Amino acid sequence: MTITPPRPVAPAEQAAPPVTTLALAEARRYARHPLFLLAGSVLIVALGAGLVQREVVTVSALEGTVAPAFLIGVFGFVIAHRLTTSMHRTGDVVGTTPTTPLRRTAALCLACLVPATAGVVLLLIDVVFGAIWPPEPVPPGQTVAWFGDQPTVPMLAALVASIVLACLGGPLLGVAVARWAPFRGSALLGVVLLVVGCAYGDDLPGSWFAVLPWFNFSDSLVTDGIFRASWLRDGAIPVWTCVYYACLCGLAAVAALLRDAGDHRRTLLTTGAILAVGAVLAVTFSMS
Amino acid sequence: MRWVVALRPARTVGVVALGALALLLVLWALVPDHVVPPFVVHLVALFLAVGPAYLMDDEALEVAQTAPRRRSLRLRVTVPVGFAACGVAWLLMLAVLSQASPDAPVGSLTWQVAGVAVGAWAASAVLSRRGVPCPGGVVAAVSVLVAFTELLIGPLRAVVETLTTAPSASWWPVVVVLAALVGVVSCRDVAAPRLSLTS
Repeated sequence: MTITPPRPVAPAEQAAPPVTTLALAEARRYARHPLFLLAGSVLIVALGAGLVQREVVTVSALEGTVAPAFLIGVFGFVIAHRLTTSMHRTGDVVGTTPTTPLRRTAALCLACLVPATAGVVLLLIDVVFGAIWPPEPVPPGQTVAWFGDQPTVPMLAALVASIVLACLGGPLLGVAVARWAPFRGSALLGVVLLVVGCAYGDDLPGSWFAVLPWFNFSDSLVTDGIFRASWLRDGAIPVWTCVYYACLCGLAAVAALLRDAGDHRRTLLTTGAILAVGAVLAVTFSMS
Repeated sequence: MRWVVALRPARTVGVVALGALALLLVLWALVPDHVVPPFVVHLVALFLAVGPAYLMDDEALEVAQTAPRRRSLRLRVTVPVGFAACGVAWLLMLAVLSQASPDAPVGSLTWQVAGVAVGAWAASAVLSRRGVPCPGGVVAAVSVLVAFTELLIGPLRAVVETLTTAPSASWWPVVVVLAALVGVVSCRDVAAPRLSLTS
């Protein structure tokens, strides 16, 4: 009698949980991360201060979007990087789980909807409280970069781009960097390049600032340290910038997934090429 | 060979220092009028300052703590060399800044760099003592995020500017001294006798 040993089953061939299950687990990890809680706490304190002063949206409304973009987006870069590299730190354990690296990366990308949702909530808070207590220029009668004084669609596009897409793009970029460059210090380098690039590029000549992954959509009149008036900045069309940022988010996700694409490489490369062309066209239209 | 092992964590600090210096030079070359804005200088300086967070990284921490050759002896080489690398890089950056950003407040910036550098190292030392083998990555990233938050977010920025520009702003030296104390105490060997006020 011969005994046939059971065929070894690769972890990925076992009953693999659907990506949504993994994504939910990663989303919970993201939402409970201390950095996300810290960033959320700072924003809640700032919102509380605004409610007390009845001035949630100030004259420098769009300039204020740097807070959610940085606290959720750039912090999100580090959080997503940490969550992704945690797979390397626990490689022996992760390797035995019934799933593939591609599915885990996809789950991490889906978990980035947590900060994006936070961005949507912040956008709604801004819109609602901006309608209740509209920003008042000094002296009254000057323009403010807000609904009413500015066309609705560009204004909404500017808010979506500078809050929601920034909150989504930072974490997606964090996953991509961690998948491709998991070396020591890559999170630090990524944060510094992201922030310094945006801070430096804001002064680029002409419309070149529109190429940046984040920029301030408004110009302001400031005298004696007080914001007197503000308006939508020339040189970038908000709607096209919104499309450009959406393409960048998609490119970051595709780049992250490409690391372990396997049989899906061709599909991902095609998607990436379409998104890259879309990004170039969108930023060209935005600058024109 | 022992020296090479001891200097391994300092190598990361050297890479960060070189990176910060290179970034400043690139920005100086790219900026249209060859004057780097003080705000950007501040960001690059903070990048350099968080480098010493990597000085406590040790993949073999658990083994090292049980080795006959005490870890604290190795740190006596690693830490000074790492801070020396950071200091030399800052001096070179000051030389570049004299041309690239003449308006940068180098005095207060130097104290801030010292405070953040020693603070980041102390935080890493505390985590290392608590058994985290490579605390550098998380401490450096969190330190730079906190420092950038102070710079970027309005109300906090106002507080920091007040603290760093006022003539009586003597709190950075206090941060340096306190963080150094915490770091030195945390670098002691785990098996070393506890500090006691009574002998």
